[in-house]
Amino acid sequence: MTVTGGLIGRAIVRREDPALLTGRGSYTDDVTPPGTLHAFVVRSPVAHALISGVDVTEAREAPGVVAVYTAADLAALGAGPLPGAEGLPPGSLNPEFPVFASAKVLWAGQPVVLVVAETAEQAADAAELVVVDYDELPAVVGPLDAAADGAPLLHEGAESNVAFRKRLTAGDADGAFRGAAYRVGQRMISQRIAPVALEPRGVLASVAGDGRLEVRLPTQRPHGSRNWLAKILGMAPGEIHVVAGDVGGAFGAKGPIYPDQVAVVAAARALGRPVKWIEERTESFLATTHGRDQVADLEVAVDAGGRITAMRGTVHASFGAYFTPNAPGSLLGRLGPMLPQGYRIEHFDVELVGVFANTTPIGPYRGAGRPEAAYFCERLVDLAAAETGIDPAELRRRNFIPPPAFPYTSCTGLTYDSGDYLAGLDLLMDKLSAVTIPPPDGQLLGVGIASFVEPGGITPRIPGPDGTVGDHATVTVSPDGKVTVGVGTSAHGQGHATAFAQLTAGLLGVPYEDVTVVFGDSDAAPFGYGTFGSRSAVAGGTAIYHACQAALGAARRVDAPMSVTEAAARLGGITATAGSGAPPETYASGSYACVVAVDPDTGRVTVLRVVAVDDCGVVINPLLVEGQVHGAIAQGLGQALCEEMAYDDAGQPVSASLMDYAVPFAASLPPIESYLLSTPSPVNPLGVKGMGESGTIGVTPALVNAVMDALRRYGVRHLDMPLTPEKIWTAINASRQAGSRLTSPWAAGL
Amino acid sequence: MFPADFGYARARSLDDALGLLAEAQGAGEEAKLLAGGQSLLPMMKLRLAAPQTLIDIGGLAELTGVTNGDGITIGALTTYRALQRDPRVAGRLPAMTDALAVLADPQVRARGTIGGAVAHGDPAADLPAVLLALDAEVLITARSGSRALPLDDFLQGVFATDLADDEIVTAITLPPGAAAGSAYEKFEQPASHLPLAGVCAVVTVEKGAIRSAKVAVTGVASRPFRARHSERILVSAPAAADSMAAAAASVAEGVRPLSDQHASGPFRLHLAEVLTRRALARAVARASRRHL
Repeated sequence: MTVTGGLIGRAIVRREDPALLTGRGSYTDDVTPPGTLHAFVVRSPVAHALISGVDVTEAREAPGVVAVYTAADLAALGAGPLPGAEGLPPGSLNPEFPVFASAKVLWAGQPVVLVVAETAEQAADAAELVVVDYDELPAVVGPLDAAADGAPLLHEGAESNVAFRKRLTAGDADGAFRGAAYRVGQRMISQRIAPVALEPRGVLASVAGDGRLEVRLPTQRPHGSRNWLAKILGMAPGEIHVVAGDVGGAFGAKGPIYPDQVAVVAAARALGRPVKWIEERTESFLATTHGRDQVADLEVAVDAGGRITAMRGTVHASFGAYFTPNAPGSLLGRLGPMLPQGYRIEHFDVELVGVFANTTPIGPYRGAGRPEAAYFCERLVDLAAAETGIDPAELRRRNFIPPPAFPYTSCTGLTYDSGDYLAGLDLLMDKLSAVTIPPPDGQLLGVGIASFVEPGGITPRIPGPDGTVGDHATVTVSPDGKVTVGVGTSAHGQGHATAFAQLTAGLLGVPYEDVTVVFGDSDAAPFGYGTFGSRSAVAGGTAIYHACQAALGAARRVDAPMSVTEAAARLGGITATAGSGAPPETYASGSYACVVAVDPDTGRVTVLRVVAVDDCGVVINPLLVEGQVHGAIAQGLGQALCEEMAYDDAGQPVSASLMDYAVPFAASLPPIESYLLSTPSPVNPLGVKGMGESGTIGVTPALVNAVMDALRRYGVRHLDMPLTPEKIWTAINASRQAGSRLTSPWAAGL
Repeated sequence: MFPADFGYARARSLDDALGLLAEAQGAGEEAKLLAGGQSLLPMMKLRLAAPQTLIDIGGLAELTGVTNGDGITIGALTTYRALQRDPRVAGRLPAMTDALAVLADPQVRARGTIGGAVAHGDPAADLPAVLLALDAEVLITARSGSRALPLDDFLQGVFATDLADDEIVTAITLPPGAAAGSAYEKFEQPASHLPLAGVCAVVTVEKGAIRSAKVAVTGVASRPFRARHSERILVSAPAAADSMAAAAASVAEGVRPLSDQHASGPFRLHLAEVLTRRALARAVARASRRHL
C-alpha cells in the first residue's frame, strides 16, 4: 500500500516493529566484533564507607584477565571526573563525581574496580578475587533524614547534606492563608522508583582503523554523550563516534553518561581492543539512576467560593549520592514551578530543598518532576474537595485557567501556550459516566480523577557545532525520488522512524514508503540534543519542518512548477539542512479517571477502568500517541500500586531484583480508554505539543484519589504510595472503629 | 548473570544418576541434581549457589508421567505443564488445577517439575500446599534402597528437607481418597508471584456436614504446614460459613510467621485466615456439586 496525502494525523502502524518483534533489532549486546574483551564492574557492597585498601594482585593473575583498573589506574588513563550538575542556584554544593571511588564509597553499587578479561565469565570470576577493605560509616537514606541536623555527612567539607535551598514565591501567600475559608495540607511522598528498562545499560567501545573511538552506547543523547565522553577523556568531540543502535527503553535513565561506561571506554582506548560491558539486572537496580524520592509538605488556601488562592510549603528531594547533570532540573525547573498545574493560583511560597543521601544517584525518570508536581497538587485538590464539600470535578472547573486567558503566565513564571482544560475534563466526565461497572461482591468501589499540565519540548541552551542553539535536520531528496531525513533527536522506543517519515512525506508531498529516517548516530545524523522531556515532536519536528520548507524552496526555484521529486531529478538531488532554533516549550494537558475495587479483607486494589483524555495539540500519529499513553499509564500505575526502591537503615537495597521489585504485569492492567482533544500549539510551526510523559502524570494521582475514595467510609484521609494491600488493610483496621463517617461524592452518579 | 564454573554430567538412567551422585560424593564434590532448573539455575547465575557438578536428570523418561493405580503416582520429573494437561489431574484434583494455573508463569510451568518443587524446600512454593492437603507421600531412591515418607515429614524448614546427598526423589504418590472437593487460594507477592499466603482445602461433605477436612498453608511459615487445629474444628461441623470462619480463625494457631519487606507476620497470618475461608467455601461448593 502506498500512503500519500493527509499523512499527518494518520494512524500508521510502526515500521520499527517487525524487526524488533522478530529478534532482528541491533542492540548494543547484539554486536561483538572479533577480539572483543569483556568487562565486569566490582561495586561497593556497602552504602557508606572509607576504603582502606584495594588489592587486585590476585585478580590480575586470574585466567583470561587482560587488565584490572582501580580509580587511580583510570585517573592515570586520563579519565575523569564526571560532569557536575547544571543550573544550580548560587552557593549550591556540587561535589565532584569521580569515575570510580578511591577514598570513600557513598552508595551500595558505586563502582570501585573494573576487570577486563577475554570472556565475561572470566571477568566475573576474577572480580571475586578483588579484595577491597571497607571501614563502614553510618548511612542515611531518605531525604528528610539526610537533611536533618546530625545526619551522617556524605561529602568532604560540607556542613550538611543539603545541596541547595531555593524558594519560589509569588504574591502574598501568608496573607492569602490568613484570609482563607479553608486550609488543606498534607505530607505526601513520591517514593524512589527504578526505571527498569527492558534493555539494561551497557557499552561497547573500540578504536577504529582511523584512530577514532567507536562507541556503541544505548543512549538518548548520541551527540551529548559524545561531547561528555570527549570532555571526560580529554579528547576532541570529532575523535569519538557514538552509535546508539536500537535502544530497549530508557525513560530518562539513558540520558546521562555513567562512570562504568566511561571506565570501559577508557579501557578500550588504552588496550586497543574492543571492550564490552553489559549491565546485569540486579546491577541495574544499583547502578542506573532512580527517579522521584521526594517528600512534600504542602497546603492550599481555598476561599468560600471554592477558589484555590494560594499554595505554600516545602519539598525535600533526595538526589542520592551525587548529582547527575540534569537531575536538579527535575526539581528546580519542573516539580516546583509546575505545582500550580492548570489552576489560577496567584499566591505561592514553596521552598525546594535538594539533599544528598547514601543511595543510587537520582536521574530524570519519565516525567522528571512533572508527575510529582501533578500528584502533590491533585491530591491536595481532592482533599480540598472533601474539606469544602464541593464535587471534585466542579472544584477543578472553578479553578482552571479559562481558554481566553492563554497564553497564560503562571505565578511561578511559566508561559502556558494554549489549552482548554474545561473541555478535557468535560469529555472525561462524559466518558466516565457512560459506563457503569459494578464492583465484585463485597468490594469497595472507588472513583478518582486528576487533571494535569505537561510541559514538553525543552531545548538546552547549549550551542551546537555551528554555534547556534537548536536541533538540526537534514532532508535529502535523491534524483530517484527517495528521501532521507536525518535528525538530531534520538528515539528509543517512541516510533520516530514512523512519525518523522510521516511528517516528512506529508510536508514534501511524497509517498511515506519513500522516506527513511536517520538518527541515533553522532556521525550520520545532524547535531541535536537527543530525546528526553517530551521534546522530539516539538524540537525535531520543527527542525524537519524547516528543512522540508528549504527543500521545497529549492524545488520552487526551478524554472517550471514541479514537485520536489521532479525537481530533485532535474537538479541531481536536493539537500537541505535547518535548525529548530529554540522553540518555546509547549504545554499539553489532560484529565484522567480511575475506577477501582478494593477488597477490604485483603487490601488488594483491582483497577477496573482507566479513562485518559489527552490534549497534545496537533497529532502526527494517533497510534503512537496512544502507545505513549498506554506505556506511561503502566508506569504510573506501577508507582501508585507496587513499585518502590526500598533500603534498610544501613542503606542496603532490599528490592534490587525483579523477584523483589514489582513492576506491573500486562495481566494486571485494565483496558485503557484513551481519548484525544486538540488545542494546537501556537509556538511551533506544526502546532504539536510534547506528550510522552502524560500517562505517568495523570494516572498516578487519579489512581490514588480513587483508592482514597474507596476508603472514605473508613475515614482514611491519605496513604502514601505504593498502595500495597498491607498498607490498605492496616489503614482499614486502624480506622474500622471510626465507622462510616464520609460518603463518596460519586455515590449518586456512578 | 554468569554462574561460577561447574562440571556437567547427563544421566542416562536413574541408576546412572545414582552412580554419578556416588562418584561426586566419593570425590568430595558438591553435586546438585538438575531437573527443570527453574530454581537452581537462577540461584547459580546469581552465584547464590555454586555446585561443582550438575547431574542432569531432566530427560529421564522413567521418572516422568502420571499413572493411575491404587491412587495416583506422579513421576518426579513430570512438568507443571504436563500435569496441567493431564485429564487425571484436571478432572480429579481441582485444587491442583487451581494451583497450576497461578504457579509462576508459562515458561516456568513448561520446565519446572513436581519433584523439584518438593525437593527444593521453598517455604513459599505453591504445589507443596496442595500435595500436603492431599496426603502425598514422597518416594526416594538411593543405591542402598528406596523409601517412602509422608511429605509432611519430608519438609523440614526453609530450603531444608529430609533428602540425603545420595538420594533422588523419584515420585510423588497420592493415596486413593473418597471423592472430595478441593480448592487452592493464593495471594501473591507482586514481583515474584510466589504466595505471601496460599491455602489448599480438601473436604468431603455428607448431608450438609463436613465429613473430612484437610487444610494446608504455604508462604506463611518456614515450611508449608497442615492446619490440624482447623481440620478438627471442621470435621462433623455443618458445611456452613460459620464453621468455615471458625476453622479459618485458627488456621495459624501456634505458627511463627515469616516477615520480610513484602509482608509482615501479622499480615501473612491474616491472609492465611481469609484464604482459608475462601478455599473452604470453594472446596465445599465443589464437593456438594459432586454429590447432587
